[in-house]
Amino acid sequence: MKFTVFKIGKEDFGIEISRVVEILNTQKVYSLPELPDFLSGVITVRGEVIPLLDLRKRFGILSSDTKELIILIRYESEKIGLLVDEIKEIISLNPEEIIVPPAIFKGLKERYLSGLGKKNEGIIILLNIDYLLTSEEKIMLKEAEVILEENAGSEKTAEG
Amino acid sequence: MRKISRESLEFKYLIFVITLLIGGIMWTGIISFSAVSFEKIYGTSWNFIMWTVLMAFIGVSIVAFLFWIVARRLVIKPIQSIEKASRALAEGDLSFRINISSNDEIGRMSNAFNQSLSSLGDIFQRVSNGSQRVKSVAGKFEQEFERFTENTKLESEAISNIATSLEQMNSAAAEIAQSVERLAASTEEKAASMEQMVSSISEIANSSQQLSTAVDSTSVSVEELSSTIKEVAYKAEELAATSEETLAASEELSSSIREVEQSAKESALLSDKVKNDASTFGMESVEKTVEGIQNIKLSFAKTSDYIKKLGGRSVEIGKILNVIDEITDQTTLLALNAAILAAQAGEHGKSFSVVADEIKDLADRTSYSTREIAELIQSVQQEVRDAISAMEDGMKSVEEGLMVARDAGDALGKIVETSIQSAEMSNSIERSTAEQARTTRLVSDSMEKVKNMVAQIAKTTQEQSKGALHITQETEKMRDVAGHIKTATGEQLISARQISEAIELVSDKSQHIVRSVNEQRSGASQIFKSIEKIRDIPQENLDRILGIDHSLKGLFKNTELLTNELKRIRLPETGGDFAASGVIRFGIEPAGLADADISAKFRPLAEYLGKKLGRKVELRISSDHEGALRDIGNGLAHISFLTPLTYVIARTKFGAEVIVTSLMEGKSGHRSVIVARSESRIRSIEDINGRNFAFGYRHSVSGHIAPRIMLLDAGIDLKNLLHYEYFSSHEDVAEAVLSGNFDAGGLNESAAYRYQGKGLSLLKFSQELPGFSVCASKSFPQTLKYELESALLSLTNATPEGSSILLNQGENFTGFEKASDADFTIVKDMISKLGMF
Repeated sequence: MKFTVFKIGKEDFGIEISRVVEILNTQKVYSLPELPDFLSGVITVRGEVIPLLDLRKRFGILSSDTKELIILIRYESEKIGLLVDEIKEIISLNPEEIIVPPAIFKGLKERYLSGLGKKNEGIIILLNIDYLLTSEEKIMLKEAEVILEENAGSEKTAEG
Repeated sequence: MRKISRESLEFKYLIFVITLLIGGIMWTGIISFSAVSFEKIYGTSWNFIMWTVLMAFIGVSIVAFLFWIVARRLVIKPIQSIEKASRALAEGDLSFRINISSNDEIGRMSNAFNQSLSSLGDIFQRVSNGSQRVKSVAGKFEQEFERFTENTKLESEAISNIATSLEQMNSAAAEIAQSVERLAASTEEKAASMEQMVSSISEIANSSQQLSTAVDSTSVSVEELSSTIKEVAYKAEELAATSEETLAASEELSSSIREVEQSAKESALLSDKVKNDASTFGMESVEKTVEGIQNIKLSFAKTSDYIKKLGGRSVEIGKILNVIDEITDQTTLLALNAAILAAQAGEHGKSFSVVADEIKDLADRTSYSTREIAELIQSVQQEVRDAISAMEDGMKSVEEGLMVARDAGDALGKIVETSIQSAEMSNSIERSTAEQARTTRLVSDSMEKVKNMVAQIAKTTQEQSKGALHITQETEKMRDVAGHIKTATGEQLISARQISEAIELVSDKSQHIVRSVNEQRSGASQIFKSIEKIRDIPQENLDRILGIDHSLKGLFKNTELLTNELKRIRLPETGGDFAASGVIRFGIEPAGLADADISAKFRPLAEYLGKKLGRKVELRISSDHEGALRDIGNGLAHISFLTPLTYVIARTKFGAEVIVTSLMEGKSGHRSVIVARSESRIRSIEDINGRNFAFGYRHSVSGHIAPRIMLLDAGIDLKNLLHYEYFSSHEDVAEAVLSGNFDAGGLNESAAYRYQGKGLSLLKFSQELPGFSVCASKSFPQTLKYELESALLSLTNATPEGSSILLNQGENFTGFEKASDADFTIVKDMISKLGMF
């Protein structure tokens, strides 16, 4: 299995490569009043409006690094952008290199974790991205996507 | 001189002249006689003239010789013997006779003198005999008179005896009267010659007084001369010291001038060198420096420009690097995305994945290199900045260096200028110092000459001073001699006056005797007549004889008086027996005072003593210390007022006895003091060694003897003193020291205290010394001594009479105190220590 490894603060996180769409440089972030609080705003990627979730906020990790990148991932049928510090590499992990995570690891809830990867004496926290959002959040996201599509349409009109 | 006498000197002289005249006339006659036949004797006339001259010469020589013999025999010898006789007569010797046989005025005068002497002697003899006889007769008469009452029968015999005696007496009396008259006459003559003598002695006294005054004034001027010479010597010494100092100073000056000259030369050389160095090397090198600095400045500016350009390039490189960085980032992202895509493609994307990985590696390497380049560029930029600021600092330093170099150039210019000036100055200093050195050498030479001259002056002055001292001593001796002459003449005068007085007295008494004898004679003739009657009327005898007795008693008395007077005549100078005269002579030692002052001072005391002792007290003022001693020895002073020293000698020589000592301000003793001027450098008695010293009266204990002892105790004998003199009073000593003519002096303490306020300092006091004393001579009767003592001791200030007498004696004189010989032991010790007397 291959994972895209990124960094928030001092911790290394891994996301299954199959879920990654693309890695993007930071872009202009639009913040809309209708959006729920857990979203930082929206970005536009090749005409597509994509909501942006700041993982640093979600994990409550303060980062001093001013650099940031966006990892664009597939979430259910939608695409969502995750705001991280740095993309490190792409690694492949054998199944024996993946261990079952403990009940809580470094303050992170069990539902966010799919396992812990051991590579070169470092530990990579493997994220279970399907549980990144709660059910209510998922609903709120859906509702928001509708609005975003409307806005996008109006924007296009405005552009046109 | 009597002109009628043929045997006079004049007459002899006349005869001599006439003889010469006759001789001369005879010679002329011979010559005129010879002149008649001169044709014959012309040849022999020359011979004759020669003879004539020779004879005349021999004749005159013989006559002159004879005249001398005659004059000697006739005049000089007799006058000498008369002089001798007169002196003998003055001494009261009547036995002397002049042995002159000539018959001229001198012979007659000698005869008359002899006659008067012999008649005087005879008269005295006879008067003496007569009075003896009268005495004895009177004695007998009294015996007879006593017997008369017992035996009236022998009356007539006695009367006839008396008559005979009276007759004899009468004739004797007549003789006496005659002789006495003659005596009186010759006495008058003698008195006249005595007066002449007295007047001539007075003249001598006057001239010796004048001599004394002249000697005194000589002495004073010699003293002045001496002090002037001393002053000159002192000044010469000072001058010598000053010229010595000047010489030393001019030598110093000379050496410093030489130094100055040397320094000026050196400084001139140095200035020249400085000038040359500054103008040649200095200016050149400064100019080169300025040039070099300007070059440095230029190249600095260029370097700075390049560095700035370099900086600009680095900025550009930075920009390029940023672009590269961006591209690298993008590439990395693309590589990542490619890798993701390749991974999602599975097996098909494997090779693509490798490419993507390599791209990513390249991108990573590029990124790394870019970062390194950026870092390098950053450090280059930093270094450029540092270099620029360093360049700026360097520029600033260069600017400063330039300015300093320019200043150095200016300074060098000034140095050159001043060096030229100082060289000129040094040269002029050198010239003037050379001149100065020459002048100083001249001064030095002339000072040397002055020094030599001063030394000569000092030497001469020393000799002069020595000479002056000698003169002073001689003058001192002369003064002493003059004093002696004066004293001797004074005494002679007194003696002569006494003789004269005595002779007058004799004359008076003689006349008195004549009168008495005449009375006697008339009485006797009356008695004679009466006796004629008595022979007839023996009953009246008693009454008559009583009358005779009365007359005889008067005669007796007169005879006694006469005897006394005769005694006085024979012993006029041995009159120590004041009991006869009843006069006490009070001798005074003057101790520096003048006769008139002493007389005024002591007269009230003498009158007081006369009153107290019931006798006449005469003052006898001695000429000096020796005179006082002589008067005591000759018995001319019965009591004496003496200095302690004179008393001690009078005691030893003549057995004089001290009665009282005088009290000064209530004290019998007083001290002697050695004094010096307060401002002088003499601080102790030892400093007096080799100096001048002023002593008081030579026979004063406090003025001379005690100071000598004090000096001797300090190791200073008379020979250690430069010069010393004796002054007549303590005040004169004080004035002499104050005037600066004498360095120190000795005087009594009361005078010293009086002058202490005027600038005298008192160096040393002696022991207590006795003061003036009143003494009695050995023969003075004991009873009178007691009376004298009580009279003097009762003289105090308590009574107005006493205080006026004491005040007259002196301001400090407060009375007398009983004294004994033991009080004078200290004086005896002192004079024996000094080896005096």
